[in-house]
Amino acid sequence: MAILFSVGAAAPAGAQDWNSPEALQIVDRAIERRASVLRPDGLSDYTARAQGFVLFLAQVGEGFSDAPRPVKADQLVLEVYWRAPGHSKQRIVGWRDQVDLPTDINYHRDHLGIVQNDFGDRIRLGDGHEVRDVVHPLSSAGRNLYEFALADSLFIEFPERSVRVFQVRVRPKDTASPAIIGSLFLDAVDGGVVRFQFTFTGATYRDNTVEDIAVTLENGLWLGSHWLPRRQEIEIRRRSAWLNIPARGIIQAQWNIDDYEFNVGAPPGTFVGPEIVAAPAPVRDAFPWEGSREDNLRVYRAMGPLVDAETVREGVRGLIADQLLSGLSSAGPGVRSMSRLLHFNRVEGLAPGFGAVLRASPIAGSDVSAWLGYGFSDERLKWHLEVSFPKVKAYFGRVVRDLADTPVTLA
Amino acid sequence: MNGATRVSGVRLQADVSYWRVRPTVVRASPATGTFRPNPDFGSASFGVIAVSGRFGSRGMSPAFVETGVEVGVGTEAYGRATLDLTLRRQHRGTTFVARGWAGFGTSKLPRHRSFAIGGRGTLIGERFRAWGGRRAAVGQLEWQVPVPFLRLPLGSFGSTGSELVLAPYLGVVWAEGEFSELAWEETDGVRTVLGLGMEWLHRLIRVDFGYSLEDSRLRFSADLRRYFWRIM
Repeated sequence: MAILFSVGAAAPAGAQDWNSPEALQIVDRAIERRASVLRPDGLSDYTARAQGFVLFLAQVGEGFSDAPRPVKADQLVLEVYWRAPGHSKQRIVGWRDQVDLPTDINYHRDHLGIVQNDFGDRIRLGDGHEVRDVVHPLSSAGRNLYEFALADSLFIEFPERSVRVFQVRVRPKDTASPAIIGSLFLDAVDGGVVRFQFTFTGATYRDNTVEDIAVTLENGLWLGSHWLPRRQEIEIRRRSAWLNIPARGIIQAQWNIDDYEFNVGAPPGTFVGPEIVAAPAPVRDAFPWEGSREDNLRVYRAMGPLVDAETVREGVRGLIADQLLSGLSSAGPGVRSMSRLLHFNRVEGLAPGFGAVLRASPIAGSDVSAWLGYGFSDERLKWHLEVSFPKVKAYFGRVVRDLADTPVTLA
Repeated sequence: MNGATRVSGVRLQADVSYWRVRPTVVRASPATGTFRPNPDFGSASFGVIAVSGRFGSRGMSPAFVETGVEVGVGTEAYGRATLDLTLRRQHRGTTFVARGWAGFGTSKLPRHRSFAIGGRGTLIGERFRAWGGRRAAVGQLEWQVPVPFLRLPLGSFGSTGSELVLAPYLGVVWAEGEFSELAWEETDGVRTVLGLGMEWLHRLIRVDFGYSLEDSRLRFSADLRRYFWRIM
């Protein structure tokens, strides 16, 4: 059990003292520690158990003002193995799912497991299809590619001792390059990574449907000096690649890692093959689940996120320009709904239309959208122009509107 | 122009707008028969200020309240307010849903801001937009019960699911303050509908059968779930 106390006022994100000697000293200590952690003193291997949910959610509608709806929920239990220097293996031994809406989603293998070794020197997600080989800021190469700023000072209280932690903000020197941007929480004494929360620059995303990815890794202190995975969360937001229809798919993975056993000796051949594998179906099916999936999911949701993905995204505001944080294209064809492309009613008759969107800041939600349509029966042009800022929107247009209020229906 | 903000489950929105309303007449030709005429809303211009709010709680018994107040100034001034309450409660694998909606308009409410209720989107079992006026209310109580159903494979999209949700409901509607120029009328008291909803394909598709006790007529509707209407 650890409790975080903040004892310093966090500096505003935009008013950092970047690359101060104090910040670089802490980072250098962390890089040195990270290089040595692959061969830590007194730790040759460990096993652990990871339990979590991988959720696939859908969110639709202009402005995404309504909460996402569940599409699919997978509950997983993994046996986790680690051996120096930096070998990792994960075996899915329990797996049950629930589908709420038809979906053909196939998760990348690494979405079904946890992150070990704090990603190593290169960060990959989606088996390299979403993010590939982004330089870790605490790798030897990362020291020259990133800027660092001391932001806050915290204490974590453990039963046996109190650990002082520095929050160090990280941003790339070249904001147009593939890189992470976020915060490292580092043990003030030995530079161990206590928490790493970040997102990526827009140039990172290799898939043009990826809007953004938010990651939080929190480590726990074991054997007095080893920071090992404790809780992890990742959120991947994708947008419809088709005409910028306001439809979003969200993958949320939440993991708790515990039941550590140290220096037990992994069975021979444990680390052969892919890092994450699934046990044979009979083994998974025989897993002795405690409680129903719905009850467990409720418990997870009640616990709440370690760090809300929105908080991660908010935390990097001002570190680089907002428009460099999204993987979405800055301009393109776009409509609010499919009927804007083609619809029929008794006033307009057959009415085709087309629209475009120009995003000034996809993360903040600032954009300009325009639409033009024509009714073959009323022979009139309809149009709208909308200018949106995070809190304010201006709309001009000539449209045929239905009388109805919000429909009153339970469905 | 509008502005919106969200504070821990509360969403507030303010709109300032200028509307020029013009009548629309039926221009298209159907393949067979005739389209019903479009209501005559007249021509008018209004400056409108509107404030709306959505308040919600999640968990086992989510509850939502949406409310809106609108003031318009044109040739004459009007006021309009709506209140929408939704409550869901789960019980032994089934769900009770209660929803109430009410709208109130002042005597100078323009025709294009009148309330119209009945049929798809409001209350299946009543004629489409048969009832309405300056004041209206709808209430619906529904019991959603999952039952086993034939599971059909859908290839890479999984399957149709092995459940059908049956949803018997009771609905009531009331309206008064009718406009002589519009087709929707006062209800002359509270009207009652008994219905049965069926949700299939992981609850993506919903079919409703509603029976009006006053009309002794059975009406039905088949549609996607309301959540997806906004991108259709």
